[in-house]
Amino acid sequence: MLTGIAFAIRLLIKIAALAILAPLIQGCIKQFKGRLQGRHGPRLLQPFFDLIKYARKEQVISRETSWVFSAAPLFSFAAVLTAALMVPWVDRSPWPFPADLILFVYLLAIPRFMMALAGLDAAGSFGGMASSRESAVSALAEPVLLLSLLTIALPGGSLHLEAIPVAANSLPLAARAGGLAAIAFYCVVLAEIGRIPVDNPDTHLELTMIHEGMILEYSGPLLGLLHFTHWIKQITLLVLLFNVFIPIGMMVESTGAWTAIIFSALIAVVTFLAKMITAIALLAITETWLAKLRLFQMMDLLGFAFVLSITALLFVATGV
Amino acid sequence: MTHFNAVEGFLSIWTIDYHIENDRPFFGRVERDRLFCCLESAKSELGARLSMLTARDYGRMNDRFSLLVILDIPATTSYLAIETPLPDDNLTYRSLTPLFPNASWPEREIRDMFGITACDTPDTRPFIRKGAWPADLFPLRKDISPHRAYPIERVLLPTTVVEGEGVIEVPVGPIHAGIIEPGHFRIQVIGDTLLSLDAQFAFCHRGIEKLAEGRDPLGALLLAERQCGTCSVSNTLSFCLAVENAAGISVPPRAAYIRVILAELERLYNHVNDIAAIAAGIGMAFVTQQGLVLKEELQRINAGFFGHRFLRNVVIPGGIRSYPGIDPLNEMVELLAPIVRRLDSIVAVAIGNSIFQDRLENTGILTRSNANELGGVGPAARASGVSIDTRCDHPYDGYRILPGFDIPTRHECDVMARFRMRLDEIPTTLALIEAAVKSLPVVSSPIAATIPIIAPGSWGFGATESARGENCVFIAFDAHGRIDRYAVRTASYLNWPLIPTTVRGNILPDFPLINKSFELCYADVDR
Amino acid sequence: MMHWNDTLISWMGAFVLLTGFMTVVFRRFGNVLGCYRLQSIGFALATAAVGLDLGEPHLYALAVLSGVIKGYLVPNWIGGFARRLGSRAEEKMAVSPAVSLFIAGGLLLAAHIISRTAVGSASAKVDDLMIALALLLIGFFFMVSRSHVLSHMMGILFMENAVTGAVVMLSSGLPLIVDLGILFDVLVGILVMSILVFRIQGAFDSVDTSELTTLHG
Repeated sequence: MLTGIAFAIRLLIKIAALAILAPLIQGCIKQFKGRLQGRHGPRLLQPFFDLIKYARKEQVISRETSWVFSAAPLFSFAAVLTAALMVPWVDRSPWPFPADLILFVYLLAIPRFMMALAGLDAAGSFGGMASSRESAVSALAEPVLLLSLLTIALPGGSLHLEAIPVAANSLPLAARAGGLAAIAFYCVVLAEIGRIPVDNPDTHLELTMIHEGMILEYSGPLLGLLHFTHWIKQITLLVLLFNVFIPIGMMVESTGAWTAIIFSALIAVVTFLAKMITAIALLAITETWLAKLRLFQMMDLLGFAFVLSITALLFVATGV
Repeated sequence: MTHFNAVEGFLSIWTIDYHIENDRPFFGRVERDRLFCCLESAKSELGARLSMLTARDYGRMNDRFSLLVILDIPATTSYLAIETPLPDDNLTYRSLTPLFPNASWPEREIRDMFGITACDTPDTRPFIRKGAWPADLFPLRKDISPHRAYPIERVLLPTTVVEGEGVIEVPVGPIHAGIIEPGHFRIQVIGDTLLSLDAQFAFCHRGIEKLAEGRDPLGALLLAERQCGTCSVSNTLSFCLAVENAAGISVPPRAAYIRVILAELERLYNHVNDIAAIAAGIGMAFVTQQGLVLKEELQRINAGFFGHRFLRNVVIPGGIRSYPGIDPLNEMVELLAPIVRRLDSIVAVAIGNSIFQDRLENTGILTRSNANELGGVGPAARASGVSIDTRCDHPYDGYRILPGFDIPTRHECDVMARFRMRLDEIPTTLALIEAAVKSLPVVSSPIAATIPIIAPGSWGFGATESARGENCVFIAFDAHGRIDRYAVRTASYLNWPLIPTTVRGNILPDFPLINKSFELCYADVDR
Repeated sequence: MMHWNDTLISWMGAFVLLTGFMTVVFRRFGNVLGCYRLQSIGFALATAAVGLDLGEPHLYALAVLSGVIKGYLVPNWIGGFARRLGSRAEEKMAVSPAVSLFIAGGLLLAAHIISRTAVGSASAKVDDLMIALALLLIGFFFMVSRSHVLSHMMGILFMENAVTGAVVMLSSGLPLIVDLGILFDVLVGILVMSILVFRIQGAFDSVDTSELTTLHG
């Protein structure tokens, strides 16, 4: 068990890494998508410039809103940041309190709830519509998120996020159940981070928006914060997808010679970056290859993910 | 000539006096009280469609106002213009909307602009007036100056009300999240299912018709060209045809062919743009971006060979200003073919994608009877099985002389049909450009006829087929050869009212897609 | 440590099950056909792996043949009919895709229980049996829940796939001649069914079987 100071230092390093990587990955996805579509695409650092721009802009808040409107981005940011810090990136050192996947899933539910409220708060028709759609999506997405993670966690007997990759490694025939659960999880990730085929992040058509619709009324620093929150959520779910379902290259317990520790840390960081590049490519290709589903068919997609995760769980439960 | 005789017989029964001349619309004057019955008979006997409904202010003491109805008689290649003088003390007439549903917008517009009221019209809301001038001021009357500011009145947007349990109204626009023109849509939904749609336009009314008054044809040409970006050639061409019609001249053959090339180039880049826009409506970014690349290449070809991306400044009354010569045009034809081939391969990607098929098929059905009744034109009507195309029905310029060409129609009536319709029309367009280039006379004959001094009080009518359908222009001249009345009726003006008929039962997120499948122009309504 | 071909069999089991679930979601005939293609290739790979496991060369031949016929020829052939029928690919579904999915999940559960009681949970083959049984039930459900004639055909083909798969995985296949006979049967079956489809289309102007109940004068 780490001491308090060491733990705090690790957290600070992770927050710094998040602050750099979350916008960078967004920039990479946009750039790669642009390339795939035959455009130059925005530069990699564009999300950072966007954040600076938002921070400097004037904030316009509708007179019709209540405190919920201003508070929702802060709540969301806090919840998502906590969830992000719980997810193991390169090492599996445990948290000092039970950071299990149920807490994780419900931390992600807080921003959904708050943003749905904020969407309704400004009393605009698009915000309300987007809130109702978001609630419909998350009602289906949340159980799949939980079930597909449970598939991997159950055999290990621990729901702790840092323990799940260990469990996945030791799971006999992880491939079969894990493969199905990974597909289900990926469908949910697409829905959660508002990407095609569920939502179109680049659209200007108000009537089709889900995530963008809820934040339509925001401007200035709060809008920047919301975007930043969204990017953190995006990188967190992608890391989780890869670290849980392809648990290779992560740092082993830090015992032995310090050279061995550094070597294993290096490998872990390199693997992590490779995983992120794969994730970027996967997202960009999915978004270019598919078009947006009709609103009600997205329920079919999430239903499909749900049945897959149940099947995976069945496989695990019967010890296949 | 039997149709001709039928029209003549019709005119002799209903009109006070009438004129029949070659190459001009039939013209007859009808008493106000007989107008409705006259048009009823025209509809049932001659199968007439309403092309244009507008009014004139002669600016004199007596018999100042008259109503002008221009009908399209499908059996003949000519139009039928009917003028109805209105008594000075009673500026009303019986509404034509029950007869021609597409008369509703023009009737509201005439009410706003001239103060002439249609009795018993189902929709009495203002159309153009959004509060920029007082309600008792009628801008197109001769005693109103376009160069004066008038007090602004704050008016509430008139709305239709739909009530019932679970019905929610979603107002969209006139200011949108994207960079598009202003249109206000009031959408009534139950859950996500569309119940009804009320579309309102003319938020950027520019008074082009008023500004044209008092100008000579070349001065007004600039206005006509700039009415809208994407139909620039078609609008200009309609304008020039109307002027030539009034002056009684015809353009030299070289100009006639070049005009066909220009009109088809405009259609080509518009169709490519519309194809990309439909793909954008479902977030299919690859097809959108690649389609826009092709559109850009086409517009660069426009700029390279004719000097303007929107092909402006080439067409003038009497002919054309200039053209690059036959060799460059042959070169241009060779540049177009590979672009169309690339378009085909890009579209194949879209059509092979099952999400694409799923979103487009059975979405936004425009029934054939609705398209017919509301007088739909262009690819949208042709995708619903209505075979209507000004190039065939009322040939003008080079289309009179070029050999026959196909006008394809489709019968699925949905967004997919409108998507494919544009694809189907592209081969015809290419063939027409090629044929026009081949037929260009080599001899150095003039490329523009001189416009003679236009006889006082003469008028003319011109109609062309744009990428969205038929664009019509009516022009009347005053005693000094200057424009006295310039009236425009564009394809978008006719086709916008079609969209509300197609949305019911679709889901709300599909509305932008349906809207894009028509890809209509706001500026053509806000003229 | 499991042998790699066991892993492959296990993966293919999950894969064909995945395609089974996908079939009930899709509304478009083209996608259903794509699922059939993938499923047939999955079964062919599994057959080859079983052949390697047991050292039975005739299973390789069967894998190649069924891969080519069911993974390539048959889908192309049926795709050709669909184009010739010219019907719009979207069809009426008696049960919505989401509900179909949950029914398919329930069928899997039923297959799970049945296979456990039939061969006992200790048997190594119990999961292969479960998957094959589930696919059989899903194929049957697919057939009854759709109204397009071509979908009925596809339902039969899915069931055939499941039965052949079960035979291969459970009893290392039948003699080659029997397997070939079954493949041949499939081809003849498709031929007969396609003739029927065209007759139905000719007589009723529609291949929607829900319209066959109305009288035609």
